[in-house]
Amino acid sequence: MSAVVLSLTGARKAFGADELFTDLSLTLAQGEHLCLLGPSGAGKSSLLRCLMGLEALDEGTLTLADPTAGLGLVFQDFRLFPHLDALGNVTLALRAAQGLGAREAEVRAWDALAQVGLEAFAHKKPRALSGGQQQRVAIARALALRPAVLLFDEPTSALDPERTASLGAVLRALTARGVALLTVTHDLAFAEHWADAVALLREGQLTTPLPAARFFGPEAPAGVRAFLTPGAVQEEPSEP
Amino acid sequence: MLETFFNGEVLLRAWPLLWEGLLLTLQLGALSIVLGWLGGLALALLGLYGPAPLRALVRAYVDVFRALPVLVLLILVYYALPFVGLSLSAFASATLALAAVSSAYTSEIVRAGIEAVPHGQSEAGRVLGLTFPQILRLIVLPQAFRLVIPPLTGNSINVLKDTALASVVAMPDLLKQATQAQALEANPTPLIAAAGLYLLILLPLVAMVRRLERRLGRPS
Repeated sequence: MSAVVLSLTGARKAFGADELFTDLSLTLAQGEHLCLLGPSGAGKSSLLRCLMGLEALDEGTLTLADPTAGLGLVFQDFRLFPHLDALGNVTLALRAAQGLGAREAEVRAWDALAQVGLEAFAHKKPRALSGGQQQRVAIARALALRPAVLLFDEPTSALDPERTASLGAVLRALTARGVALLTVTHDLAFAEHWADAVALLREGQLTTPLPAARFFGPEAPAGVRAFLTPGAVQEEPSEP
Repeated sequence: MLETFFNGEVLLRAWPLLWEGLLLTLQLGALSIVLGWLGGLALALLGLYGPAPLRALVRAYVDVFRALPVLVLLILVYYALPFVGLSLSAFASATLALAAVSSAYTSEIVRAGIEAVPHGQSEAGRVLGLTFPQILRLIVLPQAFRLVIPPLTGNSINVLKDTALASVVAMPDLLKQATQAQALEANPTPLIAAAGLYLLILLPLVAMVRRLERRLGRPS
């Protein structure tokens, strides 16, 4: 078992009277890819926003093994800076937030673009790139800051099956280098194929993460099976 | 007819006066426009991000100076301020009045530009660890400026046109010099020439706004 890089315990988030999740805990190990599934509105994206500090948790503790290597987030709609080219998108935070000099920032940015296979597009503005290429720039932008954990919100929503596979390959290369990934998705096939562990966020509760093979197999807990095949499984009373 | 309205000799004699007036008009225009931009940017930022009392103050300023006719303001500054011990030259009065009004309009234009930048852009900056001033300077304002170039140019055209009002407070701008020359020569040619000079400066700017608007209106 690899070292834990992120642990969240006892997290609670509510919007007014609408409670999204309570007493939610999760841990991520170095190089692990955890996939969160769940019905729309279950709070998956909010969980990512809370982890990222875009929204405050009502309760709970987030602990990072190495506070200097933080978290990165790739938005569902990428949110590239349209006035900057791909390289500029990646260097911006290196220079402004991390205080690197122009040359060092460029070296790091080229390296990040190379990791997602986009060196040839470094001087293209976002609008000149395809959706899949824009996503890679967004990944490179987050990656260049050398985060311990990368969060992805619905990474496959704009991708066809071929591009989904090449995204999966990019993600696998990241985990191989020790980056932990937490992806939120509706894409069951993506989760089954590319995640190490899968968990279900439903009715405010997160199930224990299971290896993808078990999560999608016949041995999965009833709640999971009910989610995966609605109507096919009767909800059983609580299991031991 | 030609002798009356397009008299070459009259024009030649009046030219030095007109030239001086033109230079003064351009100086007054340029200074007022730049001050209006700076003031408008400051007002927009204060109005959006300042503490609540300051935001209310900015709103009041913008409303008042958009409502007040420039000519009224100019006459107030030039003829009324001396009664409280503040005597400004004609040039300073005109600059102050034009910049005060222009900054009110500019602040509304800049505010709209900033608000047109999607909120997700700021969030993307936060996620990358940028501070609020960095987000503003590096992400929001560069995008906002692109959006506000056409309306800002349009507003600058208005400022340049309004410089002619300065002739009312005896500032020897292009219009004032032209009317002076017209009185001197008892011939309207200098006025025609002045009108031609205004058009010469402003028509290209108007055309530029049209081009910019067309280019920005087209989805990229």
